[in-house]
Amino acid sequence: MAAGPYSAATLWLADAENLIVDPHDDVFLVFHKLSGDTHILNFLSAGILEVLKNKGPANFVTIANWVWKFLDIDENDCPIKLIEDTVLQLDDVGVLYPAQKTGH
Amino acid sequence: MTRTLSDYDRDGIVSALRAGTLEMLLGPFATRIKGTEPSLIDFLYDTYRDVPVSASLSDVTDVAINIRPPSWFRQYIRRQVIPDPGFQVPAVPLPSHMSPLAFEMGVNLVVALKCCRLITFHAGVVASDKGAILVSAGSGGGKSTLVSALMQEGYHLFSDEFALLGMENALLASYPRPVSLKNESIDIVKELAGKEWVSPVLSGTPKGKIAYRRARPDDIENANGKAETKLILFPSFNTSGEHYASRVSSSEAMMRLIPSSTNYHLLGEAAYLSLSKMVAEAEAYEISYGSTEESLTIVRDLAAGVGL
Repeated sequence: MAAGPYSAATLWLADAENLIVDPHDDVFLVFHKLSGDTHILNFLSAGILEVLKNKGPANFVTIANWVWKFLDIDENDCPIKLIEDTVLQLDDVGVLYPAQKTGH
Repeated sequence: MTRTLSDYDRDGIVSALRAGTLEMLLGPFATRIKGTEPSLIDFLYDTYRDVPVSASLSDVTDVAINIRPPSWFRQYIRRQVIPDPGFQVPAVPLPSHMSPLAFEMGVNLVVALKCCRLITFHAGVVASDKGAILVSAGSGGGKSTLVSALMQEGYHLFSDEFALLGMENALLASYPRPVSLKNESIDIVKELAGKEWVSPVLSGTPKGKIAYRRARPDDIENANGKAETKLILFPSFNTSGEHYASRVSSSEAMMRLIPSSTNYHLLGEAAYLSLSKMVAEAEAYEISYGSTEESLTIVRDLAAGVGL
């Protein structure tokens, strides 16, 4: 589920300045400064967040390519549909958002 | 020179309570108390006897509580009291003889809602000079019984109701108010500590039978103490089934503690960073036990493992 409308061309951004990401054992804790919420993420969610923080806005296909390379996995390990769903969940909790929301 | 409540004569305390100028100085909070109920005065004299108080107010009070009738009528007919913190809160009127419960619940409510200098978690804390044990449990989880039992093991009472975590140093602050005991735990703690350390029982309260285990003078002398958290426990009392101690990861410990805080979201990044530091420096365990002695056996082992 996404927080709002989107399409395959939507560029997604991570709110890098307002996120603290800390590794804990095999998960990651993410603190969102604006909401005060703390999230617990698995390696895929954290990987998506990390590539978007470092490389800027991207659509689903580009994010998938970045994530596969970053995590040293391929589409068989992690189908693009799973990455799309994860991006939408991260949007829903507010740590990612579509670039056009802020005029990017 | 600091005077404890028992250093004052009853007339002095009654007069200060009536005027609303009785100030209790305990740990990080100065608490202004107002009230006229004889049961409140008896309770304070007994349960807070060793706590520093002043009959006049200092410059800043952190907590204010007025134990008063809910209406003019209820000070005469079927007398009742409510805790009035000076702002609107939902408070169920209690029979006047339950003023001690109204007082304790009221102070807890104000600390939970108004404290901004420390991160508050609903947890008990005991400590030695080597570090602290934080006990986080829901209602009926055995937190207060375990805290009381650990006091008998030689730990200082830091707090029964709140773990107060500093934002600058990630140290727990002492706030040794009486330990709230419910139902079966009352007799267990009387057995452990001696009945002279437990207040008279209030029966028929919304929570069943309630009594309070008084903090000891050395707990109160240590009320400005701070301690690094060494052990975080998530206990559950379970008379049947498996009894165990199971390691909890740092991430899970954080995610369990956050919902028990009343001001974590309010305090934001500083609270996250301080909690992260505290959890990183401690070991966390879920423990399940069927008796107080069993809980102590488990906790002794875990405490030894972290150098306590």
